Amino acid sequence: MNEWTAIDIVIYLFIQGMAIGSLYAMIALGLVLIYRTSDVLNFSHDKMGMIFAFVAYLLMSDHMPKIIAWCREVPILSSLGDGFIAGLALAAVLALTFCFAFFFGVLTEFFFLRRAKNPSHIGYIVITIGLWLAFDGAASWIFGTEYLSMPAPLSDFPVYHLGKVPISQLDLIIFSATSVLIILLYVFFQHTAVGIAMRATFENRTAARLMGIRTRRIFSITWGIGAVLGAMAGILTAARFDLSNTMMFAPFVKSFSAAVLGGLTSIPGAIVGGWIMGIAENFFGWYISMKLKTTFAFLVILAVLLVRPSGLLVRHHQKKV
Amino acid sequence: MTREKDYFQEYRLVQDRLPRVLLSVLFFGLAVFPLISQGDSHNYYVFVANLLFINIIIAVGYNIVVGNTGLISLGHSGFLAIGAYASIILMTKLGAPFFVSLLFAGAFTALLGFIVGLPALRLEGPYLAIATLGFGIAVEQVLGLFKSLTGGRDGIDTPPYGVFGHVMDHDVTLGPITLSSEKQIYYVILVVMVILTVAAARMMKSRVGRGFTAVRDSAVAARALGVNVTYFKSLAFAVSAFYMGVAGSLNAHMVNHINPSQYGLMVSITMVAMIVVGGLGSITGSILGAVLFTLLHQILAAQDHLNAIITGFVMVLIIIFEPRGLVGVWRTISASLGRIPVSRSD
Amino acid sequence: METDKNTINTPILSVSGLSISFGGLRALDNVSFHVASGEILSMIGPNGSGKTTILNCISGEYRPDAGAIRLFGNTITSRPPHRIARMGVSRTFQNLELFSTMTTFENILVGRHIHQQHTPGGDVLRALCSFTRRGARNETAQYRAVDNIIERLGLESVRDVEVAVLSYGKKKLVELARAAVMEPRLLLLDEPSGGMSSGEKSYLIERINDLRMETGMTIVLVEHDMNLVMDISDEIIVLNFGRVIARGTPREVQKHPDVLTAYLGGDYTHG
Repeated sequence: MNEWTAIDIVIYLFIQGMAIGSLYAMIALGLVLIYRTSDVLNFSHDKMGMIFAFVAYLLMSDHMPKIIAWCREVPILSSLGDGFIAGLALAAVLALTFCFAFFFGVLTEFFFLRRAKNPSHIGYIVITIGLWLAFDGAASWIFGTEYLSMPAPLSDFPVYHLGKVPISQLDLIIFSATSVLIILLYVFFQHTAVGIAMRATFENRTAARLMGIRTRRIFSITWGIGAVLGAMAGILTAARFDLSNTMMFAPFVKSFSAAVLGGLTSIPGAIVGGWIMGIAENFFGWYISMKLKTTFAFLVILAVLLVRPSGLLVRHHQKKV
Repeated sequence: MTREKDYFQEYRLVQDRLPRVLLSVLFFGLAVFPLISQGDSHNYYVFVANLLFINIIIAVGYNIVVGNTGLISLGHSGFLAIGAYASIILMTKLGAPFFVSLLFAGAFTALLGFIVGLPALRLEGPYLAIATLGFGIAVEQVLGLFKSLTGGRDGIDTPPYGVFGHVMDHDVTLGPITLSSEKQIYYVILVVMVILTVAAARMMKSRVGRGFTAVRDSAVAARALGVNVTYFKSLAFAVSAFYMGVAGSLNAHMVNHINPSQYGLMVSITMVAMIVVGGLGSITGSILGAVLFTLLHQILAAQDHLNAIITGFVMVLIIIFEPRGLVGVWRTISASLGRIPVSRSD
Repeated sequence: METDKNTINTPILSVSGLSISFGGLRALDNVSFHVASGEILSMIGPNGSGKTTILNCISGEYRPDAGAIRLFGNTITSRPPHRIARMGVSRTFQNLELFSTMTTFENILVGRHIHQQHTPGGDVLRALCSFTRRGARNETAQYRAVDNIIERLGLESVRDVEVAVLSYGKKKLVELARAAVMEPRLLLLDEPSGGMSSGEKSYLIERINDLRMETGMTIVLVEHDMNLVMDISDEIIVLNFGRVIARGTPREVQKHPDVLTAYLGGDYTHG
């Protein structure tokens, strides 16, 4: 890095910022989605993502070889080559993880959030904090507390170069995954019945119910999708930072900043917020202090909340008495 | 014309005879508790009692801001840390005596609480939760930085209690009784805890406390009646920060060494658990919550995971089944037994 | 900040050119009126005509986009609500804003907030020093005032009951008591008789008149019950779509063609 010019450094920080920012964006997405529709800030989102990452890890290390071996037996599949089979196995593992995540989210909403009789904001927050704690304890118990590396193919990513600036394939994957998600979510919310129903439930719960929308089902689905987004974020975080109980904590705090920055109820806001957070944090870390990155995230939160509480992409409404 | 009433009677904290008698018995019991036995295992119980009393101070103070005033703060562990470090630094670097450092820790933390409160308390609900969460984490991180002042990540050694020149790090023999340092500390903490708890009760049943509750129940109406809502919110923060500062200081000087990671998110979460499970906005609730979680933590000290799971689930279950906490459970039971309801003043 | 001490006829409250919009909706459009001391002024008009909005502007809850509000001779247009309250203004709310976890007594006691001795910050310390009978005098004096108003408004039976379980009519009375115990010079009532039976309404009218008679307070009233309005008001202003369309004594307003048009539809302006 010694021969780098200032411009090289800026490009590097920017690209790295976009990469890590995409990760924050993905975490923030799940958070914002759940908050938008069900008015609950899911403080346990990071622990859920962590659990799903562990599940993926177990599936990959214990079962993927079996799947691959099985696939090789089948003539149709083996003729398509090893690479294809490995990809297929990975896809199977991911699909299973996402299904698990979806049902986990649905059951969490069903058993813990729905049961609460008319809780206040504090009530919901306490529930999700309690879940955070319970999930943390359960995960430590079941999965242990060591650091693990994700097995192949989610490890040892090749590094490309843009001029002098290195870019890891993982970063590209994270970035493209997030971009694809944006498009998918846009289509989902604009053009599918469920998506429109979710938007309606967010805008006006009572009216949605009167229109025949089953808001209870919408809540379940929301938590399910939110959990799946958490799973994606968790797996990618594990690929980047190594799997452990606490791996998602720091990114989670920063994704809070991202969500608040973009506006807690805005989905595109979560993504824009994530990118801005990632880039800003990188520049801050390089030019000012590496150790204070999390504090920086907090300062961003505070600044945004003081200046423009609804976030960048959300219009502020005056409350009527 | 209104018939002449003894309003002073209505004003008092404990109005009926029976609770007053019970409280006197309780105080007597607490006073003689350390003297019951000289053994080592009893010393351990005294140590747990010390932790309990400190947790009561924390719970009572925290309940003022969350329970009574309705402000969600997830970063109050930051104030504990500030109180702890402030009093240690005052004692070690400036040579101040123990009680002075204790008071300073409370006052300094209260001031900081007020300052932090002013901007932050314009926020509502989840936004306030996020902002305070960030605050708590930021304090932990920042404290780990200044190695020369705070000992950085490794932490700092803490000087022991000292009253009127007597340092409480060794046994003291008064005639037939030998008081270990734990037992000496016990009395200091007991006195502070009683003062602060009674103070909180008195506060709640006066103009200030009513102001807090009014802010929680309807800020609009409070404003229309002349209550400066912003100021009262900051005041609630400041008062609870005072309690945290004192508790942090008491705790720090009781152990030999502290470091920033002891004041992390877990501490904040335990605080939430104590008051929510005990009963929001109720001093009795704070005490019950503190008792429950101090004991739970001691029993499960070896199994961190189980502790986390149980604490977490208890929090969730309480909100689902009895949001008013253990105090609510008690009220439901005593109401259905047809007994005279417990006096509303906690 | 000037105070006009000269004329007795200086209006207690004068609103001029008040305008406010929410999003694209113009809630108030150039509203002007004044209220003389000791008078009862009622504001009537269809739903959404801006009556509560005017009260919110006067009490400081909303900040108008244009116009001025003068109270007791001082301009208060941008003052925060608690400051305006301290000048001697109190109010009730259309949708009730009681302190739901408190009893009737405690709710009304909060109304004594500005009368109780206090020092900024030192309020906490003051509370801590008041364990003796003497120290408690600040508090117990307020208790007495609260019980007085409870007796005046017939709320003795629910004195120590949590307000959440009271009937709607009783809740309205508690809110009135809370506002009145502040001994305001100007009282703003937002649909005080909403949800009451006719018996409760008569009781309410008598109590409001009693209060006015004893204290000389000025009252601005928002109401839908026409009988109540005609009965109790010295002057009425009629609003529609955020504008004042008529003003005068009850009799004058009853015959006003614009008022009839606004309420009954059709066109009465040509007799």
